[in-house]
Amino acid sequence: MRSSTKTLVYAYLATLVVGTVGWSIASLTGLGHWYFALAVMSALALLVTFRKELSPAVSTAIFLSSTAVIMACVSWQTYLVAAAGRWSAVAFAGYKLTALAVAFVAPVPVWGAYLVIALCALNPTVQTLLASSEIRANYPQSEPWVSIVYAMVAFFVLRHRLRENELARKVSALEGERRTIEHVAQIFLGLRDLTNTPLQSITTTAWLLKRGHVTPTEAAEHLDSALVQLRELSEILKTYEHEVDYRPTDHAFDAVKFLQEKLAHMKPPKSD
Amino acid sequence: MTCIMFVDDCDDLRSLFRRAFERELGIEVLALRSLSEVKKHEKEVLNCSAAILDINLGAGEPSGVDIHDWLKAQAYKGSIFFFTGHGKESPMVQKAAKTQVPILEKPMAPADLISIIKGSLS
Repeated sequence: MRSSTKTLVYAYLATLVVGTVGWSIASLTGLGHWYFALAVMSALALLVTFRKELSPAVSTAIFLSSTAVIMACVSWQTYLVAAAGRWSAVAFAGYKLTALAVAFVAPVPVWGAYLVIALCALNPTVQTLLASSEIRANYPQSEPWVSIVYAMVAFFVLRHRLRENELARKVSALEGERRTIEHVAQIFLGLRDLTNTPLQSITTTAWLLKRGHVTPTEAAEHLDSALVQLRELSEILKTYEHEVDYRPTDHAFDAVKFLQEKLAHMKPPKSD
Repeated sequence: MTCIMFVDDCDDLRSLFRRAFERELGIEVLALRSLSEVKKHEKEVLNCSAAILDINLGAGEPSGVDIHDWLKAQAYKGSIFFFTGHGKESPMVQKAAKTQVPILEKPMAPADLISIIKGSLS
């Protein structure tokens, strides 16, 4: 099952369970919708407390279920007030607040946030259009347009926040890449330092040998000593061999060309 | 007799360059490994006509730049050269570059190094 489908199933089940339990408590005790909301929030708090690490699917399910319950409450409450013949200036206020809250919190996954904002525009519209003329008369004349405007503002705020997050993510990735390159460059500097002294010893030994300034035995001793230093370096590098992810095509390669290609890709990213 | 100083923390390199300079230039070589040894041989050091200083003399040890500063403080009159295997970006090498002393890079052809020292002696 795809992750998004799984999330929707979780959200549906959570809404069903939390909504039924909360609604039952509210009906049985004769308490109002505030107590119902309290029951819903308590159930969610318990769920979050007992799950130490919530997977994205579960946390999205909680987010969708809680907003679904809030939207159901708001629709029902708005209808009850209008049906009772009372005019309310704050009809559908819950939808407006939900849309703005979602835009500022910018939950993950993004489709969940867009879905809730779309419902915050759609539900008041449908509820207004389907209402009888008596009920409609008790809704503000400006509805559902105000709810739609709130949802649109929420949509743009969310979009802006998501772009900002994406930009921050890219900057962070570039910074990480820059640090890695700096780290690798430092390793290369260390390698260069470790190899240059034994190389100087080898070069000088060969030169002295050619000019007859050292005996072959003395030269061999100096070369051995230089090779010990190079072997130490090889041992250090050997411990990292298993970290390399070899590809099936990596049978034989030109080491010099390989290094040149890898180093060419290591140019630090430009920071604008 | 003309004398030069060669400071490096690698025992082999000290031994090899002592041999190279002595045989090729017929001069005396004071081969030392640290600032403390340089200070211990202060009199001989200040008589040297040239000093070749490795920059990195080991962890926790004063660097070749410190030896340069000490030599200058003692009013040393001979030529000074830094000799290093570190890249130019290394902070120690950058510090050395500020002294305006020539920096020679390892590995270097011994003939070239001898030629440079010979030039400075003449």
